[in-house]
Amino acid sequence: MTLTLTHFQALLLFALLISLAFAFLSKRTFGDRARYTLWSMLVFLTAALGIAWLMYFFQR
Amino acid sequence: MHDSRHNSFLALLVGIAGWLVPGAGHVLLGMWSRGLGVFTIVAALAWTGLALRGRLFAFTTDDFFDLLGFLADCGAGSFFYFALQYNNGGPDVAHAAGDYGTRFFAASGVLNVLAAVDAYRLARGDEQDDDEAPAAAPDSATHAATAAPNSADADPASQLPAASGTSAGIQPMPANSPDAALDETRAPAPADAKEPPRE
Repeated sequence: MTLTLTHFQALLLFALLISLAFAFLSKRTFGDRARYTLWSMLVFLTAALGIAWLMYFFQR
Repeated sequence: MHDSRHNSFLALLVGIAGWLVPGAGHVLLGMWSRGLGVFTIVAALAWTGLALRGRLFAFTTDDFFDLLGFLADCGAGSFFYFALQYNNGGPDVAHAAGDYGTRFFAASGVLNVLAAVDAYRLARGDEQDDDEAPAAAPDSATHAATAAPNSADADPASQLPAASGTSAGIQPMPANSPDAALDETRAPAPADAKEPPRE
């Protein structure tokens, strides 16, 4: 079985799964975990898209 | 002394179980939601990595980064073993998806090690979890202080690393105090305090 993902889909999935893992390991209640997941995912996406746009200025 | 060594051994077993089967360490401690969550997430990462036809690293000492990749993959425990048995046509080196797959699987291993260490620490009693109390009975000073917050044993300074200050004159502070987050564990220095002479 193979999976085909675009770059952005892979980024979304990776950010979601890692954020969920951090939330499960660091928070105790469902609400805390949900909030932490959303926050962490937002930080992941913001950092990734920010770095991607920064690289625009250093293209070959 | 004997109980302490016994608990350390059990904690080590919990950590190893958590590494071999993701989430098993937390399940052994009775923390079902965390254990099942860890299992599901690590499995999802590993499966995605395989489905994207990521590369599984073999042991080598020729390339340091390949060795790091092997160690990260090993972190997935039994999932790494099953992944090696699973033939998905080899790694896809021609597309970015294959590279993403490599990262997904390595991330599953690193996260599983993180979870196993978390389970080990909980079993040892290095970390307190109020909602999902571990089944093991830790005997550290931290838990003695937690169990009897108003007794003489409940000196909050006993929970601090030795290098962080002195216990003299420290008053317990309510957890909901706005100053609780500050580092008030050091006793304030007297106004006329002098620095010790330097040698």
